[in-house]
Amino acid sequence: MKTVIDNLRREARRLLENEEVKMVIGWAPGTDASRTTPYFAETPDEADGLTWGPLCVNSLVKYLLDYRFEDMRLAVAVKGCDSRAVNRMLDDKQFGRERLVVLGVPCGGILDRRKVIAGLPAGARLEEARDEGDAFVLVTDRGPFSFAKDECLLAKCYQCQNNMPVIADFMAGETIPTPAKAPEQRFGEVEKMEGLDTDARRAFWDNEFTRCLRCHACRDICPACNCKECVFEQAVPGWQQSGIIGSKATNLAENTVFHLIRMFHVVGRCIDCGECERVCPVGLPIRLLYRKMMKDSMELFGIETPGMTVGAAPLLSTFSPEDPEEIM
Amino acid sequence: MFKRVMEYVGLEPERLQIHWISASEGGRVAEVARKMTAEIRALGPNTMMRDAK
Repeated sequence: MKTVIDNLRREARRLLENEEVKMVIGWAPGTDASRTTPYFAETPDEADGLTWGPLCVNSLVKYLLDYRFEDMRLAVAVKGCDSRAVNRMLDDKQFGRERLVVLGVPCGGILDRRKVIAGLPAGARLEEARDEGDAFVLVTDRGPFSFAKDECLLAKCYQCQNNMPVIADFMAGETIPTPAKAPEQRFGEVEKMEGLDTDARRAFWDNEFTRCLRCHACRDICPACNCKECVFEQAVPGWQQSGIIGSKATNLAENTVFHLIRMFHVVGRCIDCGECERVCPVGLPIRLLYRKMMKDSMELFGIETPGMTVGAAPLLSTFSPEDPEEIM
Repeated sequence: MFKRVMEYVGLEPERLQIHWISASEGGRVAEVARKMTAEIRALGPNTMMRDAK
């Protein structure tokens, strides 16, 4: 992990010194030992602030959209799952390939922050993170703490598709083993939900959607949500929006419609990075909904996880006479 | 696919139906509409998404 960080910093410094890019987007240590924060290095010296480790949970690809209309070259650091977002972003013509340098990092899994907090003494300062094969060791000023990969990773890491980036101009480290477990159970929890009867499913989702605050954080973080103007903000004209927060009425019906529409807008482009679920302030199981859609599109239309390759047309913009017509 | 998702979040599958009927098949439209109405009446009122307004 140390060498990966050194490689990443060296390459970022080189890019900035040679003025090949205007900015390097990466991760930096956060306010406590269990956090990292997105980091924007604009000078060669700032490149030394970059870090990498099992706590770099954020996908940084969405930040590209902030610079999509500007005339500058950027470098962005990606782990395996984030790299699918880069492919999708390029395919959606949201960012020019010639303006982008992708810095790939090999990922052995990302730790679940809640479990890290539970395992670290309060106020500990992180000095180094080490990957020891079946566990991550966080070395702090209060001593080393070990987190077993079998227990402490994010749920999405056990269903990992590619722990190595599918697109990268520069790789900061060697290929390492994937944290994925039991690929045949990739959609296990979706199948469990499908097995329930209508009333039980209904009760489950009503209970979840009713808690939604309509903060639209899931949309704002989503690499597939790249519209300049979102359909959910078209309902109220722009000049009224600041005044009428009520346009995002939060009742069960509106919330359900919101989630179903957003879900259908990203079908075939959702890369299953899980960022929506991570940022949800009330902890809705958004991935459980989106993964149902991914499972169905794989079963019915045989697509692979979106973003695995560049140039694959999204599901809903393709048509073949052989497509199944199960509802006709 | 949308139908599958509607079922996933707890809508009765019979409520959403699509039929392909030609403009010249007036009789078929009536027949399908009658059948669908009867089926949905048997299910009772839809209670999903009823709390707007």
